Amino acid sequence: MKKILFFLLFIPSILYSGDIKIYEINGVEIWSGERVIDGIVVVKEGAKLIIKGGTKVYFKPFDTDGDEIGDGELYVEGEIYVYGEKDQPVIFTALADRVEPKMWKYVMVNHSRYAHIEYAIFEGAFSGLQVHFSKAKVRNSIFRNNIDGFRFSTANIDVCNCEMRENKYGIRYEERDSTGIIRYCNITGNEVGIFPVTKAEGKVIFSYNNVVQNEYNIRMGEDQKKDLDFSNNYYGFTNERGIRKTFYDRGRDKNLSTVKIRSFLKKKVTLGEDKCQ
Amino acid sequence: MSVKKIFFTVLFVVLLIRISDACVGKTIYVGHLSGKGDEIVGNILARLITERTGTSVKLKKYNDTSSLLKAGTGGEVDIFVVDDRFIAETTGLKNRDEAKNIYNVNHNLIWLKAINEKEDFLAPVIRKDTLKKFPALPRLLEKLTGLINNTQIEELKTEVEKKGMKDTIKDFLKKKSLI
Repeated sequence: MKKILFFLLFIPSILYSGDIKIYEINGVEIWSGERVIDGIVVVKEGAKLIIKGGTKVYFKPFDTDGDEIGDGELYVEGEIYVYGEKDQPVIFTALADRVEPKMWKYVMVNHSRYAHIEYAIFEGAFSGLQVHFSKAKVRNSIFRNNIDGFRFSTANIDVCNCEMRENKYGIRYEERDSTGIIRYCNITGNEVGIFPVTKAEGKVIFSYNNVVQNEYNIRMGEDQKKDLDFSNNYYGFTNERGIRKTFYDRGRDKNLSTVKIRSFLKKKVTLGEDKCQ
Repeated sequence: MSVKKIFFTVLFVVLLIRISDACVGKTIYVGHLSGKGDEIVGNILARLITERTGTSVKLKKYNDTSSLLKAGTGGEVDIFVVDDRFIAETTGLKNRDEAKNIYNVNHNLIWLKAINEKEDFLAPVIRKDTLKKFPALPRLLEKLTGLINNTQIEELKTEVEKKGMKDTIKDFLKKKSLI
C-alpha cells in the first residue's frame, strides 16, 4: 500500500510541475461579484456550487504543460447552478485585456447529478462548456470565441435559447448514447456550426435552431458512421440545394455519412426565453 | 489524515488529470523538417487531420532527417513524411521497398500509401501504436494522393509569403474539397 501511495504521489508531482493549484469545494458554496481562478476549481461529488447573477469568473491564462491551451478550469462532479439574469449574466472569461480562444480550458460537468446554467456567457476557452455523463439544462446562454462553444458526450441535455457564435465549432459532440434536445438556438458565425464527431445515432434532437452563416453549417466527422437527421431547422436558404451546400457530408466525400433533412424551415426562427417553457 | 484518505485523494487527482486530458482531446504530433516545403506538407497533414477528425494536432520541426526519424521511433512524433532524399539519408538505400521494410522492422514505423508515387515521391510514415489508436488515419491521408507534388509545393510557398501558412493551407484543402 505504501509503495502504491508513493507512486501515486509521485505522478501528480510530475504532471503538476507548474504548481497548478487545486481548490476543492466540498460543501455548498455561493459565488458572487468577481472570482479569479488561477488553477483548477473542483466541485466534488455531493458538493454544490451556486453562482449568482452578475458574477464574473475570470480564469488566469497559464499553460504549464505547453500544449497551448490554458490550464484554468472549473471541474464539476457535484452540482452547479448558474443563476444569471437577463441584464446580469454570469460571465466565464479569461483574465486578459484581449480575450482569445484557449486562454482557459473549460467548465467541465462530468459525472454530475445535475447542472443548471442560465444566462451565462462563456468566452476565451478551449471549450466553453463540456458536459459528460451528466444531466444538464442550459438556457439563454452565449458561447463565443472558443474552440468548442458547447461540447458533450454521453449526457442528457436540454439546451434552449442559446447562442453559439464565433467559435471554431459551435456545438461539437460525440453522442455516445446521449439524449436530449437543442432548440431555439442561434448557431452562427462559427467555422463549423454543428460537428457530430462520432458515435451519434440521432438521439439528441436539433430543432427550431437558426444554423446560418457558418463556414459549414454541419460537418460530419470522419468516424461518424450513421446518417443523421437535422430536420426542422433554419439554414438560411429556402431550397434544399442551397442548404446542402452548407454541409460537409457524403455530398462532398463519399466516405462520410449524410446529413438528412426531411423538412426544413424557410424563415428564421424567433428566439426568446418564453420558447423554453 | 489516514493513509486510506490520502490514497483516495491522490487517486482522485490522478483521475482528474487523465479525464481532463481526454476531454481536451487526444493529440497527434506531426513531425517535419525545417525547409519551407517540408513545413507546408506537415501543415497540410495537420490541418486535414484536425479538421476532419476533431483531433488536436501539433507540429514539431526537426533540422535533419536522422533527428526526425529518431523522434518517430521514440514516440516524440506520430506521423511524418518521407521523400527519396530522406530515405537515402536514413537507410542508405535507393530501393523504396527495402527501406519500407527497414522502417517497419527496425523502427516500428509503417509507410502509408504514397501521396505521390512519381519522381517527387512522398509517403506518410506513422508509428504502429498511433495507427492502433487512430485506425481511420490511413484512409484520411489517402485523400491527399496525387494532390501534392513539387510544382504544387512551389506554388504554395509563394502563397504562404503572401497570406501566411494558416490561410494558405486552409484555402488549399478547401479548393481540393478536403475540408
